[in-house]
Amino acid sequence: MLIQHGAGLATVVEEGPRLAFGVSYALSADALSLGLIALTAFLNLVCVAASWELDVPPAYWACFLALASALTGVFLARDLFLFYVFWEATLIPMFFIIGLWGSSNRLHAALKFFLFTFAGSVFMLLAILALVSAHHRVTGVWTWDLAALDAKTLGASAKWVFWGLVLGFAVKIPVAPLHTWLPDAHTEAPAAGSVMLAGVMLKMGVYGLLKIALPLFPDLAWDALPVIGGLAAFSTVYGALCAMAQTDLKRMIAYSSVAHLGFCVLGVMSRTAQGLTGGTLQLVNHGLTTGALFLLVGFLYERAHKRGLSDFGGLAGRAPYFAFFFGFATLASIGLPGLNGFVGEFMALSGAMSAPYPILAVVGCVGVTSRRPTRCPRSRPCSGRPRARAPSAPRSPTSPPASAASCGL
Amino acid sequence: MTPSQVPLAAWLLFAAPVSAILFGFFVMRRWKPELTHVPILLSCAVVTASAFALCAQVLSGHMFDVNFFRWAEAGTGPFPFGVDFGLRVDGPGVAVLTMVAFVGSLIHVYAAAYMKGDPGFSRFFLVFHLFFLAMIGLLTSNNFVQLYLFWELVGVASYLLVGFWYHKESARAAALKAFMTNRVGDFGLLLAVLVIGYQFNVTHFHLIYLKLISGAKFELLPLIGVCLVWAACAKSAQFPLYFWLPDAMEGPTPTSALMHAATMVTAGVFLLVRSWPLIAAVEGLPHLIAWIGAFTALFAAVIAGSKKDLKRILAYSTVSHLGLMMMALGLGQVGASVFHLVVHGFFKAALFLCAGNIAHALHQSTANVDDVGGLSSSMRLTYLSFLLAALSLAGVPPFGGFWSKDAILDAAWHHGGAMAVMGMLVAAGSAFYIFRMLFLVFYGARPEQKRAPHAHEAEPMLGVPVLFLALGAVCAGLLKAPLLAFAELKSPFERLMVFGLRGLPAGLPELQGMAFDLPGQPTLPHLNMTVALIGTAMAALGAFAAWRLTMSDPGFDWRWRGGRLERAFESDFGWKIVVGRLVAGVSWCARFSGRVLDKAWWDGLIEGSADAARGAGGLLASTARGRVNDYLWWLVAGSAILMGRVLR
Repeated sequence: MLIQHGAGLATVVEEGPRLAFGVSYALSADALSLGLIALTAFLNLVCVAASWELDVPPAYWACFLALASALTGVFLARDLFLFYVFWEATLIPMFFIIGLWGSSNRLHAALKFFLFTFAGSVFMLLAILALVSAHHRVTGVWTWDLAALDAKTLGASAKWVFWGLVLGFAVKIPVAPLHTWLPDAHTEAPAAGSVMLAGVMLKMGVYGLLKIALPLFPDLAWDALPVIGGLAAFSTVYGALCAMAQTDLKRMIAYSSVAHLGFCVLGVMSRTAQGLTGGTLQLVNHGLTTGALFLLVGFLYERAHKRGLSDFGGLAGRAPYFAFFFGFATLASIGLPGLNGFVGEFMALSGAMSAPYPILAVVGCVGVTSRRPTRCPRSRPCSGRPRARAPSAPRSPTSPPASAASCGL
Repeated sequence: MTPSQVPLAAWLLFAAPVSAILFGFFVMRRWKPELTHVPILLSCAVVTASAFALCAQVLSGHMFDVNFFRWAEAGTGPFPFGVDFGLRVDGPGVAVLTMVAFVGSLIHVYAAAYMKGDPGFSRFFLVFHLFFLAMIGLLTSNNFVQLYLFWELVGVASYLLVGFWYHKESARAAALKAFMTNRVGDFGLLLAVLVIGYQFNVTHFHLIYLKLISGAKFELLPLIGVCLVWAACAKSAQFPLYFWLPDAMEGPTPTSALMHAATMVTAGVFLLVRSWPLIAAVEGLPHLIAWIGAFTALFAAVIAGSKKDLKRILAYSTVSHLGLMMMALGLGQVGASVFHLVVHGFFKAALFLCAGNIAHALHQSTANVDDVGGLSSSMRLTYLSFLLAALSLAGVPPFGGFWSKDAILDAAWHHGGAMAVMGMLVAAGSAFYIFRMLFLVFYGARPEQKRAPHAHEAEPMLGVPVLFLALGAVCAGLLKAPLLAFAELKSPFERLMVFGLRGLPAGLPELQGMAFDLPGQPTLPHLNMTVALIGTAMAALGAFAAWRLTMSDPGFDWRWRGGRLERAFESDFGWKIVVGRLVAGVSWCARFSGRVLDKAWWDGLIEGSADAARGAGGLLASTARGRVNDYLWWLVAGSAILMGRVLR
């Protein structure tokens, strides 16, 4: 459906050489992939710019480049084997980014991130293997090509394969209650790492859902709507509620990501035109706004080596531009109409409304409104009396473009 | 009518504020921040002129409703999703718009003098004007999504302005409270908009009206209606969500005057006016609105009579008057409700700015009745303005407030029963609190008061706009008077409303030739002598009581305080405590799920699985430590089991 929607953009396909067992280097790109690739490229550029003044070894830059290429690969792959390889390849540079250049508890966070998401992908791998071997058993042809694979060959075991795929994607998205790797990883990663993590890596899960799980198993996905949609709606409320209680700025943004991605999943699972469009739009917009927020907090951390809500105060007086952009990104993130967050959210919710379970949209509405408070403590760092150790005005050439980007639409 | 035929005035309504804000932000703020107000005041003048031009156009019978472009399109089929951006210029919209533009512009002028020298002068003006723009957008929206968009923008501007002095803890808390309460209300509006889209497949006001009169059954209508009322209660500060408004007085006085008195808070009433055909179709809902309004009006009037802070008295008075508007609306008197909305905008803005002048004279951000007293001699212009506006508020004939309040009291009277009694009590209560304030501030100077010896009259930039507003409050009754000699309906206001509710705006291809009447009474009732006399008598009674208790009976206003009674009044008869508990409950939930459930329990369980694996590994490893003794024992044990099996 989404491909239909992006009918204006031609689907670009590249057939590569065939390897053993039918593995081929087949790539394809449609509107969705191109949007996410553009997002990856843009955020990577911003990350490099934002780390310009950091004292880091060359490996740091190499990791970011490797990450960007792996991510691009995920968004391009049409061959499931290739998809899986790129999918796992993103873990390696991110593991080092968190583990080597993160903050105090970095090793624990890196290991947790790696193991947790890896455990999820194992189910995805099993599902892919089952799918491919079933296809071989029935048709006698080895192929990993998404366009050629057919879920009907699976018979009764289709259900297991579907849920295996969904489990792998759900960990990556993450849908509550599979989200606990996210706050740790986001919090401990360096600012640029958090931007890539939240901005692009989370999108892999929804992308997989859209490009693999839904087209292959349309009926099962329909049956699974109450479960997946319900969890997504639960994520929006639960993520917001958890974010409210956080005292660490980065942790708070991380939990808000759980809520935002809940909207994406809700919209995508509704499979109405506006839900799909809204969900995918929200994917890109969340990358921009959350990226901007992580960067801004990163600038604070760089100068003060603190990120507690109560460590700052009165920044608006000392760093008016910072406060302006922070406020701007925050408002975009809470989905203020007129800024980018609103469009996707509204469309996703009205999509969910027309889906068979409109109650999910109602829960989502609670999520929208309860997420507001999450961000409201934003007034805390910027207003109030100046705290003794508040940093001097963060000056960075990169903050304006990053946040300005969040204005979009 | 096509977009190209839209009159210039309608374009200027948006073009002027947008360009003024952009120019102010990118040029003036850098170049000469202290002159940021110049382009903005110019834009105010343009907007006011445009609003009057549009008003004249609607008065001559030319309403329109045009879609400009479609946004967020998705899907195909009979009902493709999309949000239209359009412009609806009709009677109720233009009536409120003209008031907002005129009152708002005067407050802008006032603010230019009031905020002079503040370090955030430039920021203040930009946000102030952004709010103005959002309000204009809200009043000219032609569909629910667009309305929601501006509704939120209004809320954010209000958040930024209440918390304008961000270094003040109380301002920050108040801004947060206002924003949160509005969020709670926005939940209602968002849900209503989504359900409307789902139920009707359109969000355009007039197309929804059309579907409603087609007689089809819409099961979700009650849900939509309740959600809309909920949203309106939050924005228009009605019970149970009124409590944010008195606290919002932490912002600079022009903010209080413009947003929390004259314009923004009326957005809720306006929303209900716009969606009245929806609400009227739900049985019992108009009654609910009337009761909410009547209760809030009385409740807030009683509390207003006990407050000491000048701006807080006026804030509760605003809540009370919004309650009156809701009551009129609930009784089906759409015309009376909008009329009171317009008149209230004038007198309440004047009163707030008077309070601002007094605080300015004392060099404080807000004033208390204990700080002042006997100001009538030292602040003559402010006194005059306050007196005129207060007489209007109290509903003394022939001032503006009399006519609008009379229309509402008339409706309540004809409804009869408790509603009539409550209406009359509100009339007495309004007169009481406003005359109490008048006496305490401008007369006497009781020994308990400090009497502010250094108070001086405000500069002309502060005084003159207030006088204009007060004169507007005095003359607002003329809108009801038969002025248009040439027309059949001679009163300009009723003409506007009748066109709004009985006419068909040009510009909608779907509606060609489909004229129909909308529910709600657009005209105002004729002057009923009984009601007018009783209402005036109640006002006189209130004024007399105020005189007795503040001026004649020495110090009663101070004597009754200090006990349980004052605490009851301070907590709004316990409602603030209930709300406090609710908020505490929600934040407990957040803390529990964020720190205990998510971090300690669930994540603990997941991290514990790693420890469990490590523990299990360790346990197994302890069986294979490479000690020959151990292996021998295993060997013995194994062979023993085998032997046992074989031998048995």
